[in-house]
Amino acid sequence: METGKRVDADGPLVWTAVALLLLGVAIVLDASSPRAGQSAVTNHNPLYFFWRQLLWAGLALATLRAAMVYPFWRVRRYWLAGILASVILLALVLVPGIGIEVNGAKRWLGVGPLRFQPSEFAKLAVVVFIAAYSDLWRHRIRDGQRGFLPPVIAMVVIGALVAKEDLGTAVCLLTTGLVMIYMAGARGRHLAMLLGLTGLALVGFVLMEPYRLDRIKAWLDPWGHYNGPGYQPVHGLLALGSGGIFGLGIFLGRQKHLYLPAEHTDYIFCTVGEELGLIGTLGLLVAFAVLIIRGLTIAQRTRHWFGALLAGGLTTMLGTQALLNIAVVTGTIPATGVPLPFISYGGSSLIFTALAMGMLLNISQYPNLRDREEGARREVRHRRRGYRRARLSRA
Amino acid sequence: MVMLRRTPILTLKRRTEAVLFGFMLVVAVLVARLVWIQGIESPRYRALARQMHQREILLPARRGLILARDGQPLAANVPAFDLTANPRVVADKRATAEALQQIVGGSAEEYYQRLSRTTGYFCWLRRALDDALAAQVRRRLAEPVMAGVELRRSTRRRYPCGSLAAQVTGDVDIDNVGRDGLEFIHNRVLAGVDGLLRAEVDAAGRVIPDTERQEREPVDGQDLQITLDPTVQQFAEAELLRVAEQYQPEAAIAVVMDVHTREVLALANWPTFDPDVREKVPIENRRVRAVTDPYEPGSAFKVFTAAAALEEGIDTHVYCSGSKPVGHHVIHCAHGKAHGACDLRRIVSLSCNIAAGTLAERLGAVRLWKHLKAFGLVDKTGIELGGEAIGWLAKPENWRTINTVNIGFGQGIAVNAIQLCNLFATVADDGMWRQPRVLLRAGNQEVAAQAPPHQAMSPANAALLRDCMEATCTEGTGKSAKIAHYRVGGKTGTAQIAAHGIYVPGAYVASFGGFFPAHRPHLVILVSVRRPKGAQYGGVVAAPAFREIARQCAAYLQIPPDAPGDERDGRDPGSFYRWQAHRGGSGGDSAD
Repeated sequence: METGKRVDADGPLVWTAVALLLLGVAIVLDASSPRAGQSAVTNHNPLYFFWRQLLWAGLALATLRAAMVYPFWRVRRYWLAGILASVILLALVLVPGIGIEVNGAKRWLGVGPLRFQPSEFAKLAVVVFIAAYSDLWRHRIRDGQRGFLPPVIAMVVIGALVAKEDLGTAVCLLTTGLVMIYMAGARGRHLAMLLGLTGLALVGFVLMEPYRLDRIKAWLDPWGHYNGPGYQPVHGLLALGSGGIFGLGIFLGRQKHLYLPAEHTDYIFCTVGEELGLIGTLGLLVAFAVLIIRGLTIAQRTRHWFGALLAGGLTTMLGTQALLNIAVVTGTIPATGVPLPFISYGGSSLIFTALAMGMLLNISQYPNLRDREEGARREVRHRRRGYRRARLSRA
Repeated sequence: MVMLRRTPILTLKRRTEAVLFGFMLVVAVLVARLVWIQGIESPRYRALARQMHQREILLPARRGLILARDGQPLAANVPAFDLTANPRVVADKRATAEALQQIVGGSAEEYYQRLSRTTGYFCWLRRALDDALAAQVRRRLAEPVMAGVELRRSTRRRYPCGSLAAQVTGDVDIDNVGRDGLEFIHNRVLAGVDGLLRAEVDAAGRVIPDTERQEREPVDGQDLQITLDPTVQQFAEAELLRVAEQYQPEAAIAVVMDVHTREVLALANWPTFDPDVREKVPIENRRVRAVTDPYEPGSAFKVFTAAAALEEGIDTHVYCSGSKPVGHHVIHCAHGKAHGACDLRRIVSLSCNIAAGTLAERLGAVRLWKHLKAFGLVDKTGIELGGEAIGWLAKPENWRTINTVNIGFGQGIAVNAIQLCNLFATVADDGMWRQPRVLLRAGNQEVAAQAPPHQAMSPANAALLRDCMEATCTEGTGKSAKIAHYRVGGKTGTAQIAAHGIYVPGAYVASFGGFFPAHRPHLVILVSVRRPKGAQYGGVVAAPAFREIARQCAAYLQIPPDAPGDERDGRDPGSFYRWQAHRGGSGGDSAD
């Protein structure tokens, strides 16, 4: 395979990623210190979360760098292994005694102090899976049963496993999958059907757990549910609102003083909004917009099919998660727990975000990588063979 | 046909653009949402948030002490601790309640109720813990089961002298707000003004560092120094207790007053209570009865009648036949005695009802009223104690003769003990009426009497009357009040208690009021015993109490004896006969 001319990684994206990563550590320090300083769990150490996040950020930078140099097309060969591994890991989480429960949600696997969230891995696996699948059978995606259905089934299995404990991540995952299938060229009819079914499934999952329905009620009337599910949304809004345009000033936020739950994880955006105001929140939003624009531009520029789809998928994954988080904390949609990529406290999230980012940056270095189907000859030969399993080209 | 379609890679590029467009649409919505929340709605949210985390914290002002005239504290503050909790932080309320029961006692059920009653961030668990208990709590505060429990510094009011002058000092409620006595009536002076601290607090109610702003400095309460002398007070209370044991009365009062300053040195009320012990006490026991409960003074009031008669210069010679018709009524002397011809000295010393009534009749309502007014017997005395009550009296124009006559011997008129005591003091102080006082100093400022003094009767008449009153203690009804080596003047009183318009049979107030040393009076002492059992006469029940209080005061205050050779003493009735025999034997150098 011809790699084409290798170019520098996408500059704006590199800087956005590094800036967000470093900023995230600073914001975690700012947001987490009041609670960490008062909690016996953190041994009354205000820097408890900061040191951990700093460590994770170092690891994340290393991961980012590693992923940046690892040729992305080599990832393709793990497409099936990845999806199988994530199904197994997700199933393991649900096994009593193995899955670790935090705040009533079983989302973690772990040995000793190391914890790992399989759903993070599963998101990445699904992206690789769909990209590789559509690369192998490029035209089949328009065929309902033989092309469209297999990735959908994989997505549904993974999505269902994730949604049981973590609806927010499941929504991210399904959105990413849908967008990728759409980008891969699926028929509008199929997509519409899938969208409808996904919607129904979502409703089903909401009805499955009573707390999810409460969250919707709380979304419609947060003040009316202040002493219940409305508490967190209300304090999120109070934090954002009291920030105003210029914010209360760095470190002068009030809601983080035990008022706002999850002030350093899912609701960290509110802390930013309170201290830095509209300027800060719009700045973050712009950073994520840059990330999305650059990511999708990479997807568009890349000649390599797998690369383009992978770039589109990774960007969608990060973008969806960021926008979903912001939509939740601004009360635009009902509350569901997804971390803000780069910013929220949490190791798994940070490492996998960096991994995705690194892959994206790697793709950006090979805009002219020859796609194996380029050239009429291969195309014709492929069609003459009909829908046969294509061989993987070796890079 | 495949070939007519766009190649997949072109579809991919076009659809990627569409996805980007979709994303930007979402970003636009979120931008609009953020502008709405942080731009337009911001003031509302900011105000709401401020309401939640801004807290006004009171810096408690030190409550002023109540000091006796010698500076001894009657009410003081001691450090204490309040046990509070943030119920939202308490994980297992049941377990916490049980742990608390283990540590500080009390009922786990009650702690649980307190923790569960509110959905807020604060509840009291137990207040005014002493140091030892607080230390025990502090030792275990770090345990997980005590999460949310807090120990707050506070103060507790203590009364070092126990029940001494309890009604006068009064007591405070759990929030250190006065509810009786001086604590109540002078609460504002004692309390001071709490300082105000505005601070921002976290959700657990703890102050966020560097957010405190002092709005107002606390102004400490002022100390009150009162005129009571704890020692004299102790004499009076001990004596009342003895009387109470002997006669089981309903209530008893003793007042000791300095004649010249009218400072109340003792104001004893029995039954009493211990303000340090928070238990249910009948409300009557909390009152300063000497101020709040007017009663008919009975014969003790003849001092007033005699004073009025002297001032008006009317004929004070009356013949007592034992009974006297007045209108449709007939008045009698006690136990049907007839005193015969009486001059003022005999009227006072033998306590003749007929004569006193006759004097009142001779004076008439209008002149009687004028002197009642002059002696401050129809107005409040203005003593700095709360709830002073006086009897109600009709206008003199509306008095019938029987009313006038009755007032002559202390019926149909009610006065409080301070008024009555002040009447004796006015006579003792050469007729000068002064306001009785209990407050000496508030903070650094001397408290001056509100009402100016005035001459209620001439000094000469007062001296004359004092002679008559002295005779009460040497040859009249009040011999039991006499102490050796001092000349003592006084008047007994045995008044019937009226209820629902009639005099209750067998119910009396036995009183004795008097002064000593009669040569130059220093102290006035009034003892009133309500409904004593076994005896009823002021000369029997109250006079001995007067005598013992006077004897102790004389020693304690080092009052020089004005009759060093006078051995007559109420404690020893025989001394009066011996004295008479001695005087008779010595050749009668005395004119009387």
